[in-house]
Amino acid sequence: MSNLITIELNTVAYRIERIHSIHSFFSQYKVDTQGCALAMNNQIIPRAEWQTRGLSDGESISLFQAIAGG
Amino acid sequence: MSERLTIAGKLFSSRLFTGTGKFPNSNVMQKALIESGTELSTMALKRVEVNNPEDNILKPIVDAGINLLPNTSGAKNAREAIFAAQLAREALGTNWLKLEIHPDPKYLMPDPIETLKAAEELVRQGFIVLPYCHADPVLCKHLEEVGCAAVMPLGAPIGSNKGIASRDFLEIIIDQARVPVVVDAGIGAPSHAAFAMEMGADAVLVNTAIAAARNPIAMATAFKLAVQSGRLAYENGLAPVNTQAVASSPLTAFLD
Repeated sequence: MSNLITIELNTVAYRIERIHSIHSFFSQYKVDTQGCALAMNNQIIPRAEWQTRGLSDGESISLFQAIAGG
Repeated sequence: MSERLTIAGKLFSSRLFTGTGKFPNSNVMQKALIESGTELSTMALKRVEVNNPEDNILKPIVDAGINLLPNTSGAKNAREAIFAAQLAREALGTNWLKLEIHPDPKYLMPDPIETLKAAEELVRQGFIVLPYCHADPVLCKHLEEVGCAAVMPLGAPIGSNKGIASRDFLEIIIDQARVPVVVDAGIGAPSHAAFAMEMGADAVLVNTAIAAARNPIAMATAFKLAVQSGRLAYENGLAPVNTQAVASSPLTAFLD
């Protein structure tokens, strides 16, 4: 079994090592997640679970941030 | 000194709520918001563009000590709005929410049925819900009954700057509301804001008229003064309107 998997972050594909948690993936790829919320399969994953939630091949992460609005 | 506004147990000294969209840049936005005296500002949520991140909108607002009011803009139905609300609570750490559901991007009319459905569920989930809605007295009453902390009926379509086109209906809403009434959308000039406040609105929410002004910072001052002026007038009793002339000076008839 390959040690590499493909995941998507907001439609951008990443080829990453299988061992990553959400948290370590963001750390390694320097994704700024300050003030962000995250969902997978339309389920919100609380930040407290990012350290322990692993990633599987083909999974998609949706990351949301606050922007200006009325 | 005017009475202070309370929404969901939180006291506000300023009755001018603001949006953060359409400002030329975040520096001007921060200065304008501070100048306006606002204590509550809206913002939206969107997917991060990983390769093209947006400016950090939060820092200038939080640094200015302004409370956050995330909106559900982009939601086309109750299900999407509830998801957006949950994302906003997770991202921003607040359970305050401007609930807005508009399926049609042309006129951005709020969907009353989906808004009521979403409001009921979000209240159950512990959100402090401030729904943007039509100036419909029956709808506003229903929104109040399901537990919304305030109602935010429109003056006119979003961004239209047409003023208080819904005047007759806002008067009924204000008369019968037992929660604060915040007039949202359509306020294009300080005189519109003053008029809403003179009518007895508890607050107004202004975005485009400040952000799109030639000088947003000075326009923020103009709106701050207008809101204060309108509220002061309301609290102190406007003189009645008469059809017939009523003399301000004694009619002494000395020419007879």
